[in-house]
Amino acid sequence: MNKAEKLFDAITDVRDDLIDAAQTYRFRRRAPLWKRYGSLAACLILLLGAMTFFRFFGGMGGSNSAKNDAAFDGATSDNAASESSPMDGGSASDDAMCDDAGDSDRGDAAGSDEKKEKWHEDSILPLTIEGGDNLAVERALSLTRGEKLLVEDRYSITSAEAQQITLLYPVAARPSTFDGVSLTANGEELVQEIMRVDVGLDQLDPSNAMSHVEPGEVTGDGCWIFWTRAKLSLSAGETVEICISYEKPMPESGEIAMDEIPPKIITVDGEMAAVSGEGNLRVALD
Amino acid sequence: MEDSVIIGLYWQRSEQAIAETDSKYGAFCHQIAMNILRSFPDSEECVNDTYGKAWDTIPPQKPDSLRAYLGRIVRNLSISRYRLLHAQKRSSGADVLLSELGECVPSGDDTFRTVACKELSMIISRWLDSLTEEERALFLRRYWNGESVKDLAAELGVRPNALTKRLLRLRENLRQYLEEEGVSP
Repeated sequence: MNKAEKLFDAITDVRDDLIDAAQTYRFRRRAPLWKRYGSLAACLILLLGAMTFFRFFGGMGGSNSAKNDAAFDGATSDNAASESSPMDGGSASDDAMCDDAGDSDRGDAAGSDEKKEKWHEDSILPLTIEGGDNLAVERALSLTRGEKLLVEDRYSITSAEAQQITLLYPVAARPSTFDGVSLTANGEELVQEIMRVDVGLDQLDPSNAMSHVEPGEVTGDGCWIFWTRAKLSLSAGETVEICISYEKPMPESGEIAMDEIPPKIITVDGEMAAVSGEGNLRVALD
Repeated sequence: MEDSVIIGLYWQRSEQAIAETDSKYGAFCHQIAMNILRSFPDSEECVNDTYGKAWDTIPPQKPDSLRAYLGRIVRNLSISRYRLLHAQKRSSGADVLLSELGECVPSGDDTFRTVACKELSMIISRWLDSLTEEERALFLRRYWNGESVKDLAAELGVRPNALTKRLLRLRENLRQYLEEEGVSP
């Protein structure tokens, strides 16, 4: 028996658990090269197309708010007139974030398309955690179709040390339809504080001044960004499951693009639609 | 049927044990024998002998993993038959596997101590532990099950050439490990 044969025989007697594991192991299939590079090329084309689109329409107006007003037909003329008074209905830039912004006084196709795009872009924004150090966060976002679109944004947060963190979650909505969001930690409802921020989407940042609002305090038909804020105490090594859920009107175009959000897992009706990756991502709802 | 129940049937000396074994692991055993022998009648015979050997050895044996136990028997029987059939003639099947594994043998002679088969198995097991789950499965499916590069490449979704290179790196890694351990088959 030569050495190779002896080696061959020796491999026969490797441990049982190794053999068993090898039999049941499912190899992760690599997408063919053309698919990988094809997807990349398609994403680049989409990105370039979107950039060109926004650049073109974004340049139509004068000031920032006027630009948004011109670009999106969601705002009513009343809203447009009162854009300097947010309490009366929200700024025009806020309006751009709402999907069902009432009657259109323009109705041009380009504006309508862009409105849809804007809805998609702004509808789902990621959770912000303040005061958190040594945290590991996994995210799973699911969208369920119905009369309305149920958004369930789940975060699994593991803390390496005992600490208190603040959760901030933005929702763009109209006061008349805004019922708040459900915010739970390990299934228990958290005490929330609803905050309001008077900025456009492009300035959306937790560092912006926020003011506390009581339910019903904000009125009008304009669109606002609401931050729901809750504090949470974590012990060392603890993992807490955060779930933010709320309903949105179904998008008209049948798809949602989650721009500038790095999603980990996105599911539509419980089915995996796309995984990982940053940048533009579209999830078909039809 | 659960493995423990099948083993229980062997212990009760119930002939149903063979039927259940064939039903659950028949295809698995056939595949291993075919990968080595490349002959259906020879494989068939090896698999039948495997059941016979399992019947003879359980009890007193009570394997933790029936799949590994049967696989090991069918592999040993197939290799023995292969050696018998191919004493003079070289062809495909295990020849290819043997020639590939020949690359894992350290080249030195005096510096390496020759180890017994059992000890070598333990060393290879330790080496396998150091690999990723995928690499481990790949190596064992190729050199334990004897699956073809083409089939494995299809399962992985890569080209056979790419997989060949990957297997070459794994064999090189094993050779280095054996050298570090100072052993030779």
